[in-house]
This record gives sequence, structure tokens and C-alpha cells, in this order.
Amino acid sequence: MNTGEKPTLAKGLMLLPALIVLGLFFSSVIMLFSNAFVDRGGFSLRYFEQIFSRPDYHVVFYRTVITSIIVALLAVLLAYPIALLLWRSEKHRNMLLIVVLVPWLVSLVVRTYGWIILLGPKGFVNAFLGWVGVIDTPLKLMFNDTGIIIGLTHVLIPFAVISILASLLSIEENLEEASRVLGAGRWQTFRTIVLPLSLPGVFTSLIVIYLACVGAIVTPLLLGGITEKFVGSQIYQEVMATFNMSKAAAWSICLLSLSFLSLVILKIIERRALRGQE
Amino acid sequence: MIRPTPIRDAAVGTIDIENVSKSYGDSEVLSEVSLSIPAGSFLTLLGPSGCGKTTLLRLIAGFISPTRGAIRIDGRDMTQVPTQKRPIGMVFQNLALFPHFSVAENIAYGLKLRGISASEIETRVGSFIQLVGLDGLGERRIAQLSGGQKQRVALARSLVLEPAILLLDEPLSALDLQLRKQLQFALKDIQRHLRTTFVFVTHDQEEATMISDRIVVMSNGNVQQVGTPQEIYADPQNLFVAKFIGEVNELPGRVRSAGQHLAVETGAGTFQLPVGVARGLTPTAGNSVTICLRPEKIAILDTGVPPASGMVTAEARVLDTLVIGPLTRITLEAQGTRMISVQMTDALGPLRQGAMVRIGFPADAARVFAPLTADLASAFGEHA
Amino acid sequence: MRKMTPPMKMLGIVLLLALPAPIFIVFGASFNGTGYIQFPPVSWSLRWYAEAFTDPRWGRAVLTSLWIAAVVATLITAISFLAAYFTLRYAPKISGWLELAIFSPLFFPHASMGVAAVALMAGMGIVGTPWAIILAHLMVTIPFSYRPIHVALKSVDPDLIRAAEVMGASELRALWDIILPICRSGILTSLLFTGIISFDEVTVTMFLIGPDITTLPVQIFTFIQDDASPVLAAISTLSVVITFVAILLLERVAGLSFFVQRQSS
Repeated sequence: MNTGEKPTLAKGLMLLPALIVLGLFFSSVIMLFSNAFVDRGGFSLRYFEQIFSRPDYHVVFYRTVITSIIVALLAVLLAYPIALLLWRSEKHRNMLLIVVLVPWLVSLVVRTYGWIILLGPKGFVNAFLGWVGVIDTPLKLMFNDTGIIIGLTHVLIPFAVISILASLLSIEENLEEASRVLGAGRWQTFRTIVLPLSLPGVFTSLIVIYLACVGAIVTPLLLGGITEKFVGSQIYQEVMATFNMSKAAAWSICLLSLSFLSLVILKIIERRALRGQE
Repeated sequence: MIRPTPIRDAAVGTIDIENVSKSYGDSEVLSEVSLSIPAGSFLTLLGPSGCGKTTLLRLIAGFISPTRGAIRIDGRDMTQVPTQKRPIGMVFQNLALFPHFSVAENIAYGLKLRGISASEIETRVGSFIQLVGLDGLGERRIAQLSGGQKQRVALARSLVLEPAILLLDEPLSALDLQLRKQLQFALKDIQRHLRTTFVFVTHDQEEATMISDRIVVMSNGNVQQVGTPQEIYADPQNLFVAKFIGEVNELPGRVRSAGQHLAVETGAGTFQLPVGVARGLTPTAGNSVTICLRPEKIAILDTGVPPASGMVTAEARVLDTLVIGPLTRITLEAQGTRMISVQMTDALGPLRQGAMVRIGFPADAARVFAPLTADLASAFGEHA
Repeated sequence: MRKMTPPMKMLGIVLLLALPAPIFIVFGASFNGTGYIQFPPVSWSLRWYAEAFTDPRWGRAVLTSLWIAAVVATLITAISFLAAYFTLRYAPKISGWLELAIFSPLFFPHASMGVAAVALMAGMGIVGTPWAIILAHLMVTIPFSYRPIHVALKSVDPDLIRAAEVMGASELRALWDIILPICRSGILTSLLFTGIISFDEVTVTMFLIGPDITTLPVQIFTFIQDDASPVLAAISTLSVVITFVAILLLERVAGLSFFVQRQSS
């Protein structure tokens, strides 16, 4: 809708509110840095050194990354059939989309709470198994990595469904028919046409889900407990329990760097996989 | 058709374009254009795409400002006058109808902006809906209309505001031929009736000749010729105009001698022409020139009858004949040069394919031009 | 070919139904008569709803979340609209840079963003006030608001604006009469989408609450950690209903196609 007119300074003020919001965001990042490098009033690298030297902290980062990778892959794998289902059912797509959107947009806390009710020691699954008589003592389904993985995967599948579906919907309808007319079978058509063209959605999901996982606090804290620490739950504790802002900021910066590094790697993989497309 | 009374005597709606140039960075899309458009006329800016015609229209509308020069409307300099305050209406190429308004709401919008009372708006909208022939469609949504109906809404929407000037940017280009013809007549009719100055932009020369009082032929940001359709067809001032308007036979050649007569040597023979047929150049011996002839000027001469005085003749072979109702189109070849002749079918004797005939044209019907410059030739996809 | 093989279809359906399953579990638990989750349920009752409605802390949290969501959605939609309108109409050259800046929060892990927000708000001395939460939510929601508005504005034909101006409309009139109605669904998408995000945001918000103010999801989070009384199930159900209604509203007024449009940048 560019009409080719020159803006006046007064009209430029329309940009100001957005710049203020962005300014706040970037100042918060600056504040994060200025907190991280300060200890007892002076410049210090203490908390960074601590992170690099303590093996128990390495475990936390390691667990976070590995869990996030597993969750991202699992979520995409489980989301794909759902996306296909929605893609194929043109008539009921809107209704089915609501079934995906509601779990996506309902608060994280509520969805995680649902899993606590299911997986807890006195939860639904254990109560059911006990009632049937399969087990005597409750299974430990929560407060471990399994719980975290189940919870995070479930929480993030809807996003993957939506972004894969968006990719599928952008495939030109007659491409598939053309492939079939040329003699390709159902599976071959899927493998050579549908799957490659849906890869952009797959990669968007992987990236976004991975980033959401490494930065997650609520789900790991509630389903993983205090012992199975995630970077997010560690950060939460430093701010809310020990009130050590500097340490929390140092952890946040490490998390941030880790995310950016992962983002770069994921983007490189994506570019390689999508070479030749677009 | 009930019509609103003519709104004005043809005294308002004069446009004077004075040495107007428009550049974007280094590229100049209009250079030193000067043009006077009389009030109440139907003027067409005609030219190939990129010739600057739309830019000129947008300058008049005030969407863009000239880099140099001035535009006056009824004597008033428009430089500092924003679009909203100019006495103009505009019909856009894509029509730009408001999709969320009904037909009547689209037409009423400008009146509402002027604070006119609701009952007055209703009356005026009603009469303009009738003027453009959309009776009974006032409540329709834009998406429910056909292409031609949309065109009529766009026209009514602009005209209801009684602008002194209406700018039309290729408004018919998206329509099929039949509808186009129909709307061309409707446009002409409405313009004559309202006496609004119409400035019409098109790249279609046939459309331009059909509806305009005056045509401005443009190319490469320059005005090539201004005149009535007849003038431009009969007496083009350069090869570009000759080629762009109507069909033309081109005989490239070289001036042999230029004195009392002009002798031009072409592939089809050497022709003696009056000096007065040269346009845009003073012919001297050795010049490369092009002789142009309209197809209807090339006659097939009866054998045995001596040619009328002032006729230039040549031998040619009949390659093909094509009868198109009252007219016949004959493809000829004169020593390797192809020519087209168009004659009344009735007046033509039998012509055998491959037969040799004598052809002739009145010497003063020919025009002699300098060859096209490279940038003008590109408009025809040629390389000079 | 427009069909899936039956086993694939079954798999899709089962997985699809698994998505809202935990929400239904919460829903069921909220009507459980006993003090802890039991299978099979012994009795049904509405006692947890009664408790939720009588405890003033819940009412306050719901209202706080609602009004903050309304303020955030309105503000950020207006902010994004002005920015997108200005860039698209007058400065398309900076459009790419602006988008880059606006979408950068998307690539920030929420935990880092929470700490950054608390660092900034503490510096401004507003932690524990609604301001801190509102400002943080503006940062979180700006990409989700800018996207639909930008897409809607971009599709507006500049000739529509010119047409309105030729007919005598000032810029403001053209904006009000023509551009806003045409961008209606993008604007409504922004309003409802950001409203929902703000209403349900917890990861950043939980750093910014204080003794005087907390939001519904943060309060649920705090209560889960303390004791998992089934009153939480009742409250959670309520929060699901609010989100659900907002989504249905969105579907009604603007459609859901925005969510599955292939984003072009």
C-alpha cells in the first residue's frame, strides 16, 4: 500500500510507540548483561566461571539440551499425522483446527497441571493401575526426565501441527495429482512431493520447539521437581528463592548464547535440507 | 435514460502542463512535457507502456509532484494543492472500488465527505446510477458485479462529484472486446453530455482513435504529436507515430537527390515524391529515410489505362488476398519488399495469386521520415 | 488421492484427541467430590467451584488477568497498527529492519526473557505493579500482533487510498473509512490473539508479580507448588473456558486461516 509519498516528521511519530516497546526489550537485554557481570558492586566473571567449572551445572545444561532435542523431534513426529489429517479433511478443518488451537493457547500451567493429575503418585494412571490390581506401589512417572519429556512434548505439539499444516496447505493442489498421473504410487508421491514441500514447516517447528524447550521453566519445574534440574528451573530458583540476580543473569546469558548457537546450527541444517527449494 | 442536466458550460477544466519533468533518481520518466488541454475536451494520452502517460496522469492528480515545471488547472498553479483539493475525479486501472461498500455507498462516499444531506445524496446517487445504466443494482456488493458493471460504478462514483476534470487510467483494459466497445461509446456519450474534461490514458491506439477529440502520442517521456485522430492518422509527424497509429507500409531507402523533387531509392524501386512529404527532417542526398504508406493508399491499377497524374507506380506480385467483408487485404511483393494494400472488395477485379500487377499511390499520400532512434524502436521490439 | 489410508487416519485422529486430553482430565477432576484425585471417582460435586468462588484471591486473580489482557491487547494492536501503517505507506525500505527487530523476541528463550524483564523492571522500580506485567506483555506480544496487521495492511491496494483522497478524504478519513474496515480481520486477530497470550502468559509474568498483584496462571502455578487441592482443577477449568470462548470468538469474527497461512518472511 505504499503510495510513494514522502513521510513528514510528524507522521514518523507513528513509529514511536513501537520503538518504545522495542527499546524496552533491548534495554532489558542490556540490563541482563549489566547484572550478569557484577558481583558485590564490582565487575566480576564469578558466575560464569562457576558455570564453566562445576560438573553438576554441566549436567543441567546437558540435560536441557538433550531433552529439548528429544522433545522437538518427538513433537514433530507426533504432529505430522495430525497435520496430515487436518490437511485432508477440508470440510471439518476449522473444527479440527480448534481442537488443536485450544490446547495450544490454554495456559501452560493448566496443561501441565493436567499431566500432574495424570502422572502423579496419587494420579489418574497410578490410581487406575492400582484399582485394576496391576501394581501395589505407585509407579514413578513424574519428577524424572520422562515426566518432563511427556509434558513438554504434549505442550508443544499443537505448534508443530499448525506450522506443518501451513506448509502442507501451501502445496499446489495439482502437484500431487500430476505425480499420480505420471505413475507414482501413494507412498512415492508422499515421499517425493508432499514430504519435501512440507519441510519448511517441519524446520520451523523444530527450531521454535527447541527454543521453547531450552527456555522452559514451568513444565520442568512442575513435572521434573527440584532434583531433576533444567536450566529454566535453576534460573527460577536463583531469582525467586536465593534472590541472586547476578547468578540468574549469568545463567540467562549462557542460555541465550546456547540458544543462538543452536539456532545457527539448525539454520545451517535447514538450508542444506531445503537446498533447491524456493 | 434520464440524465442529470449538463453541469457546466465548457469554461472550467482547462489543464496547462508547462515544461514538466519527472525523474526518479537518475531515470527521467517525463522530460520537458508541455501540453494544453482545453476545457470540455476528450483527450487521450496514448503510448506504449513506460512512455510516461500514467506518470503524467498521476502528476495531474497530485499523487506525485513534478521534478521541474508546473501544472495549472484553470490558470491556478497546482504545485501546493493536495489531491483532495484539486477539481478532479479519477477512474483507476484496477477501479479501486471500496470492497466493503455497496454500489450506492461507493457512489455516495465523496458526497458524504462533502457534508451533503442524506436526502440530497440519495437523489444524486440515484440519478448517476441511472446515468451509467446500473438501475436497481444500488444495494449490490462490489464482489457481486460483473466487470462492466464495476466499470460503471467507478465512473459514477467519480462523476457524481461533478469534477471539472476526470482522469481515466486505462479503465477498460481488463474487459473483453465486446464490452469494451460498448463502454467506449458510453464514455464518449457521457463526456459529451456532461462536458467534463476527460483525460484518458491508454496503450490501445484503436481505442484512442475511437473515443478522443484529441490524442497525445507519447513515447519515452516525450510528446511525439498532438492532434485530432484524423490528423494523427493522416499526417503523422514522425515514424514512431506513423507506426503506432494504424497500419503502415514501410519502405526503407536512401535519398538520391533532393531538389524540386525528392528521389528516394528503395527496394521496391526509386520513387519521385514532392519535397513537402518529408516530416521532421530536411532531406539531403545520401540520407537514410523511410517512406510510409497507408495500405488504403496503395491501389491496384488497371492494365492498359495510363495512371492518373501524380500517381507513383511500381510492379508487384500478388502473394495473398484476404476478403474481410467490404474490404480486401492484399499482400504484395515488389522486388523483395512486402507491402499491404487494402481496397474496397467491390471495386476490385479478380486477382490471381502469383500474378504480376501494377500498383500505384498518390505521390503526396506518402510520408518520408528519418529512421527510428534506438530508444523509440524498442517500443516495437525492433533493434535500430 | 485426497484420502488418507485408514490406519494413517486413525493414527491422526488418536493423536489429535490426545491433545486436549489433559484438559479434559482437569475438567473431570474439578467435579470430583473427594479431596484428592481418585479412580474411579467416588462422588461428583461442585464443592471446588464453590470454594473457588468464595476465595477472594481467585476472583482477584481472574479480574487482574482479564483487565491486563484487555489493556495489553488494545495497546499492542494500536502500536503495531501505527508502526505497520507508517512503514508500509511511507517507508517500505525500513520495513525489513523493523520486522527483524519486532520478531527478535521470538528467538529469546522465555527464561532469559523473564530474567531480563525483571532486571529492567527492578531498575525502574516497578516490579510487583501492574505496569511491570503490562510492559513485559507488550514485549512478548508485539510479534504476534504485528504479523496479522502487517499482512492485512500489505494487502490493501494503494489505489484505494488514492481513490478516497481524490474523492476528497483526508488521510485520517481514508484511514478510518477505508483502511481500517478492510484490515478488520487482521486487527481482530491481533486483538484476540494477543489478549489470549497475555491472559495465559506465565513464564515471564511469574518473575514480575508482587504481594499486591498476581495473574491467574501465575497463581495457579504457585498453588500447584504449595498444595495440589482440587480447587485448582475448578479454577483451571474456568481459565480454559475463558480461553476457549476467546478462540471461538476469533473464529467467528476473523476466521482461523491466519494461523495456517504460510508466513512469507
